[in-house]
Amino acid sequence: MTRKRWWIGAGIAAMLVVAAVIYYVYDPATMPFPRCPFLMLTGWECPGCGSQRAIHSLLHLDIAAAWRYNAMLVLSIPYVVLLLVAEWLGRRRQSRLYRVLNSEVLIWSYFVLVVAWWILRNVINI
Amino acid sequence: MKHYFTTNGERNFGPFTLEELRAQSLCATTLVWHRELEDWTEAYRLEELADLFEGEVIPPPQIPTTQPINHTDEYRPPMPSSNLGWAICSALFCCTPLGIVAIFYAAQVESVYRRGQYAEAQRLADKASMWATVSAVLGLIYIVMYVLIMTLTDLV
Repeated sequence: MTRKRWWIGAGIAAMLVVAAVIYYVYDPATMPFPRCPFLMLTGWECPGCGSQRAIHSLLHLDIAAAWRYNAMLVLSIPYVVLLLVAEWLGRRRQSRLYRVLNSEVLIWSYFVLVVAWWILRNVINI
Repeated sequence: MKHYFTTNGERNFGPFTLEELRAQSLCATTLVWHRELEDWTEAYRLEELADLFEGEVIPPPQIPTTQPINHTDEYRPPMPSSNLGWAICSALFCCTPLGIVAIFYAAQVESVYRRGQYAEAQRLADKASMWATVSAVLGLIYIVMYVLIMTLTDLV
């Protein structure tokens, strides 16, 4: 079981490195990267639209540009990193950090934020 | 100094010092406890008492009676991972609507767990993981198809 987990972890890490290199080298703003199917079908942006360009900007340490492409992504990255850290540190799932990060209030707030972001970015074009 | 206690199953006796305890007519299977022990322990198992029972025939332990599992406090499995990080990533990078469904399930894991509905919490955590995975797989399929179609149209 632990061995299997290790391989899964290694596989994910390898894919992340490959993706990081691709997104560092190529700029999705100028290259024909995959477009969001939701945007193509409906004409509306989804909460993830701009993620690829934002990642390219982040990899070039241009946080302001990343924020313009997808502010939600920039806000979410620290949360996801903390969640991963808490998952690895608090394997028993009872550490304070883990409990706070996974508390109902915080997750529902995040949920509402994402849905609000989805609506607002189409209404007021952010 | 250690303080020892004994029990007859209904009442506890003590505290005793080791000397006081040894002076009593202990049975090999008398249950003894001191603060370094996790649970009541049969006297013959304790190093400092073992010599009292040398050569004695130790009766086998009682067959434990099966007790119904009390889900409110005694049996508490670890809180399942809410899989929130996974859900967020799938919402922002892969198939968004399904990723948001995953966040919706992840959000409920903690409160359901706190209410003591452990199986339900596990079910919600699994659902969050499942929707995040579906979202990721669809996203990957889409990217591969997209790249394939782009390359093919380029070639044509």
